[in-house]
Amino acid sequence: MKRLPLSRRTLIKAAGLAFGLPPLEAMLGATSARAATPAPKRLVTLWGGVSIGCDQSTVAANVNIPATVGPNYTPTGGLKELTLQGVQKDVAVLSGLSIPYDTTSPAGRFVTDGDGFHGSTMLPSLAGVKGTNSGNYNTSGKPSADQLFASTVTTATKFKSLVMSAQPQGYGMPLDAGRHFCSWNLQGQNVAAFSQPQTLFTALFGTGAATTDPAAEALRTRRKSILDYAAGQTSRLMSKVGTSDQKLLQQHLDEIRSLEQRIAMIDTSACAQISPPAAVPTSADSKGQESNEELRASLMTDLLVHAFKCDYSRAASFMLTWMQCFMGGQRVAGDGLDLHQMGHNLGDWTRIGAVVGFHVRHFARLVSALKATPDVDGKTMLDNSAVVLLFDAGHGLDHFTGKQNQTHSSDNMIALIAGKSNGLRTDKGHVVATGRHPGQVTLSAMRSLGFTGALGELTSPVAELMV
Amino acid sequence: MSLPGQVIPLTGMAVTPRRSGFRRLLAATTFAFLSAGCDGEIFGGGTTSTTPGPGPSAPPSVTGGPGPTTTPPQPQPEVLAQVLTSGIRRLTAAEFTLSVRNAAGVTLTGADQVLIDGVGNPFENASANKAPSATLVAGLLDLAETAAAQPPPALSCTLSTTARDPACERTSISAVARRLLRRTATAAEVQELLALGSNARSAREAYGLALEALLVHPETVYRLEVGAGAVAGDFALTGEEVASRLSFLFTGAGPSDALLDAAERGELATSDGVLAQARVLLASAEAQNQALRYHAQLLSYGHLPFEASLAASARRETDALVLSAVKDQAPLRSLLTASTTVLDPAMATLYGADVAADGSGPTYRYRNPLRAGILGHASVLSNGKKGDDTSPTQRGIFVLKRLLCEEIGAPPPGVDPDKVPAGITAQSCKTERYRAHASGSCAGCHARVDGIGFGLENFDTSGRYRTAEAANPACTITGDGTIPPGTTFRGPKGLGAFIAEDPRYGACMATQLVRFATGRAALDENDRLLASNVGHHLSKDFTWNELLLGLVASPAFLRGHTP
Repeated sequence: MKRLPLSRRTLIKAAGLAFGLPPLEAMLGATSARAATPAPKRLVTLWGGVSIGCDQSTVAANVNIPATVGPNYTPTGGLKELTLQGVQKDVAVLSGLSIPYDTTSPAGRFVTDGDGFHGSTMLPSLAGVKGTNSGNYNTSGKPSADQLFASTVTTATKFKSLVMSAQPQGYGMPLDAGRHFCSWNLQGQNVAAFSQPQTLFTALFGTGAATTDPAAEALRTRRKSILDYAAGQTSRLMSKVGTSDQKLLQQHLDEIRSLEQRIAMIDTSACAQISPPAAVPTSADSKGQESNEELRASLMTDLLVHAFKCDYSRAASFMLTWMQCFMGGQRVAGDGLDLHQMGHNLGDWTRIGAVVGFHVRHFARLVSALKATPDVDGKTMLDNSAVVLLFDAGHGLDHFTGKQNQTHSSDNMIALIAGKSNGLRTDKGHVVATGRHPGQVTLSAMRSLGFTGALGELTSPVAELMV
Repeated sequence: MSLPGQVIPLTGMAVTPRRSGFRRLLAATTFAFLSAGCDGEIFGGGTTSTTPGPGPSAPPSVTGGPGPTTTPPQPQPEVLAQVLTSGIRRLTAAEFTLSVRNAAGVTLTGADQVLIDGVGNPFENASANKAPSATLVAGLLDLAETAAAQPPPALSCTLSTTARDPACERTSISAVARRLLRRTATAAEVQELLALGSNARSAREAYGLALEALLVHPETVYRLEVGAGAVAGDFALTGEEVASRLSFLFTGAGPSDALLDAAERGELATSDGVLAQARVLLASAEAQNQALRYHAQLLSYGHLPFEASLAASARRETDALVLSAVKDQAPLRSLLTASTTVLDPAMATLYGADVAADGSGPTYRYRNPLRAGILGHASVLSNGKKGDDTSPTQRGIFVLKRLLCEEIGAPPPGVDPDKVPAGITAQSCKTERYRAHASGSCAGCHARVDGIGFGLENFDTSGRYRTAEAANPACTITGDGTIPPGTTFRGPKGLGAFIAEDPRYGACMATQLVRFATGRAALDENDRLLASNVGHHLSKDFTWNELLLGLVASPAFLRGHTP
């Protein structure tokens, strides 16, 4: 029997991807021929729109902050998922992170009215700047890490960044609250996320048929023709409308051009020949409060890894749950409250752990899949990637009310980071990084991949993570 | 395809038909529009009517007259001050699906995951955060391909599946282009669409390619108003643009061939012409479905947090009430006071002893003296939750904002609205928990809202009657409600009766309709002025039709504004 270059465990994991991916070349012993090929660097940021704590208990009792430190720390609460997914040793957990609650510190939170907490931490964490809260709508005018990285480090790919959201709707949260964005382009404009795996699949892989298939080729030609038509009509229309409408039409035109480019970038390998996932319905639960986010997250993770394998993108921003998540908690944590209310009013560490665990599970699953996927340089994809998971809130002082042990707190935040590029020190286990900014963790991931600039107002990575 | 809010055949309801009042208002509005230049015109004058009409007591003509023969006069400043801003608006998923179905006879599924609307504030056509995206463009292409693969509807000629037929292709493509673009396509545009199918093997394939292209055409996906040319400032809408405004407002879809025909004949250049077409639309099933969709968004029962079959039952109950009021042209306020309801067995079981069958049909009388009208429906009572239970504060805010258009400010600085007050435990009664709102910086707003919510406390988040808190059976619910400055009430019946008599109700319904018509949750100065004028001229017993006609009767409805 031919000896497999990957371990049995790795092989099982790779085969476990949710739908019919083609055999990985590493499984067929092809890695040695590729060892000299430099591998692309890839960045993924993931977001959990929840707090890691609850209002009814103390920070000291928080199960999502490990009680022990170092490489051999004991994962508790939601972090147990790292162990269950077999990636505890591949992930560093940073605790004690803080976002300043003022407008003058670098990447501080905005200081505003009574409802100002939610939405105040994402831009500092992902773009290194504070947002504005005009009309409860979060904007910064600055790019997020995925877009910045894709623009400055990577070469042109089908997708500059894959922007995805496992949560497809707000469950009562209106869109004009802006809680569903997790990526901003170089102009600081919101980039909408894919929330339906099937649509993401089509955008990435089209029909999934071989490029040599005449029918597939005919479809590509047809799509190009239709999109050319749409682009021409959009350009024509721009001359007829006012300035603000021109901006919107320009954005529409840009999206058409971008899709045209993706279609034109015909993949000559067999990697695009995979089967599409079935559509996942919204409001799949009995009360319309969930849409099977667990399945959506799994499918999107698989698609992301496969897109990396095909080199269709080298960056991604993946929102597992919206900021101030109103998704029902029955499937995730066995409780009827929504995830936001659980943090405030449940006082049940088992369930709060399960809420955080949902996010950690999908982060860990991605890390595991990257670790199981051979890269073109003969290493694994994880060796050439950096993956970060960040959350809406920590657990501690609510600067606004002056109360301690609160979920409306940007103190005692945690971040998870995986990847080994340029010696990123993800082998340190649990690191207490008191007072460091979660955006610095994001910047550390970017620096490990060759990015040399600043992330917004943040200029230095977390020193403990760097070689 | 089954769409939300489709008309359900129903039996009679306990709402009062009031056709005579409807006629009175129509006569009044018609008279006003026919009296160009008179002092005291309801919308500030400037009507573009050029033909003499019947006197003030005559019923309005349903059939359209000949088109105008003179150039419309320059509108007066009062009209210009009410002109609605004409920014580009993306169609909602429902609007797109309906428009495509009407135009091309094809059924789209999954448009809601391409044209993502989310929860509105309160209307899903709110244009905020509907920026173009990769999801939109890629998804539109998918939808277009799905549509093109479906058999075309019966057209004036049969598209061959085996051979080319240039004449039939041109006719069919011209027709579908007109419906989707909501204007007649130019010869060059038709030629461009035909050229897409130059290599097609059959007329059917050529048509499919043109349809695909039209479904990703920006004028199909977005509504825009530019008048006769690219200008900034105020301008007269083209007839087709007025047709679109009218059709989307009244039916939730693009205009029909007949309405576009009327526009091209110039019949929508005047307010009385618009009214004539509006009355035609109001008689259609599409307009009734749109009324159901509107109310489901206004009162947030479009996506009920119930198990699927119960959600459908609850939705049917409320749709039945709204439909009855709309079809019978009953005063809209009768929705708040209806003494009977139409229930299926699931809803009858849910309400239990609160209702009694009124004969052998699905109509039930309320036996519980606290329950009446739409505020007593499970669908509406599902609003205003916090966690698994009702929130008197949230229910109060819901009622004040949606039905009386009151502004409720955000919590003051230093207040976390999600926090349980100090000293309160899981065993504390709700009245005790909310007592913390009675003093300090919270008191001002909570005094306005909490009393309303407490008056609905006898009904849980599923609409079931209760006399004690589920989590704390020792906590008795009195259901005593208060509305500042000193009105007391109990239950949905008392609250509905109060709102039905409140003069703010009519003004608010006009405001909400303008929000819906403009797709703007935050109204600008012109929007507010127009809403104020519409509301001001509503009688106490205004009907749904009168509300709609009051809006489109304004000369401002014929004009656009580009900032």
